[in-house]
Amino acid sequence: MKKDINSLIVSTRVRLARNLERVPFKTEVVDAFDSVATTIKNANPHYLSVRIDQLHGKVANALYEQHLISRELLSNSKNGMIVVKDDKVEDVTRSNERVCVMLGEEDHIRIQVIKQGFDLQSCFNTAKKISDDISKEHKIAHRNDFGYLTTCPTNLGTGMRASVMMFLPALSLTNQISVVARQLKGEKITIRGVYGEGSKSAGYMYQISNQACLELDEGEILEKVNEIVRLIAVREIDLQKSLLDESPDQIINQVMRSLGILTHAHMISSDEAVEHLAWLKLGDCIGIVKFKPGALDDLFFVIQPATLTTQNEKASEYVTRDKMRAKKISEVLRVSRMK
Amino acid sequence: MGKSVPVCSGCLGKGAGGFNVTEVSSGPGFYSVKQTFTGGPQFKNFYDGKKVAQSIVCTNCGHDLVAFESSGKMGCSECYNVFNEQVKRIIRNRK
Ligand SMILES: [Zn+2]
Ligand SMILES: [Zn+2]
Repeated sequence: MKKDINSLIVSTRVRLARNLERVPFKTEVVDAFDSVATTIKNANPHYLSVRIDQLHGKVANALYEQHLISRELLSNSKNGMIVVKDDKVEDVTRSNERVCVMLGEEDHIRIQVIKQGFDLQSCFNTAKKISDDISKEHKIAHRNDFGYLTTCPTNLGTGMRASVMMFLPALSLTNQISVVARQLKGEKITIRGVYGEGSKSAGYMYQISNQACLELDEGEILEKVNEIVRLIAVREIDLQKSLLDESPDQIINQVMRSLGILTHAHMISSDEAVEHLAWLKLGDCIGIVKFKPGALDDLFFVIQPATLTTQNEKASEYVTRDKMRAKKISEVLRVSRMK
Repeated sequence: MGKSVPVCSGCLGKGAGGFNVTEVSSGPGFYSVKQTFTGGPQFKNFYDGKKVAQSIVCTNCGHDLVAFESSGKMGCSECYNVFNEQVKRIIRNRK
């Protein structure tokens, strides 16, 4: 059962929002965050900082596409900065725990840690360590009754948002996802589609995350998100089984058609690829096809336009990019398919 | 969530890390955060009746009630002492 749950969880993310005492939230001082960046780098030798005005556009787009940097930060060319863990900021690999601290976003400091798979606690530990590093040398705005003081009072509390990206094709196809969303009301947990508009998310990817509150501490929030993710996963697995029981031929047909297209297409857009990858991933979850763990999850990200462009300059032109994407997908599927 | 309170429009409809994602509609009877927190008019009326509030200004950053009212945002950590009552109201509404 545990393995089944893990196959539905793409990634885990923890964000901690912090602000410096008395410094205006929208400070325009050019070197406002240099000292914070220095503190983080001194405590973590493998980290490096990049100013937004010096960030290569290509890399900025890829970071945005991977949800590591926000529009708001990208528009802060005055004093916006990021501090990242790796020496290659655009690097996307499964083994990496990705760390990107945004400095000069809506809040002064937004520490983000993202890991593949389901690991809220270790994301939190990494983020908390960076927060502690900063607190040793800087005064962080905090009040006992309000928690961490944020630009928006609606974010008061722990400053933490813990979220889990889940693959929920059966809940989505049967529209049960809206029932889940309704049941989560009052639980201080939100479910959102990751790609696209409306309640049906392209690729059937959803993000489950906590809402800010003053009643729970970090440990309790993590526990709650953890518990709800498991409940949703169990329901998704049950529903996948009954879908397969009800219409096995239709599902097998769709999965194999998607496999055919993904392994033989000469050109493919990211939208079409995401759609077929979702079917392939569903086929993997219910045992119609088998791929190395994580291989399909990686593909959802590496085939996105800007991320693909960071791997190869030529991909900035769309015909070339659609060809490169098709080639990349068929290669990955060939080497990661298991009998 | 009934009463309208000032909320930063940038924070609505965002997922972890402040990225745009789509709120899942939970069918009839569900009000999206966007619909519930339209901010603006009702809140304005609430404070228009109490002109005294307009004189509140944060001495650390210069943020005043009008700025808070229009943006839903604080100017600095000191603003939380200056706008203490208004913040408590937001927190009560959030429950
Ligand atoms: Zn905001
Ligand atoms: Zn202030």
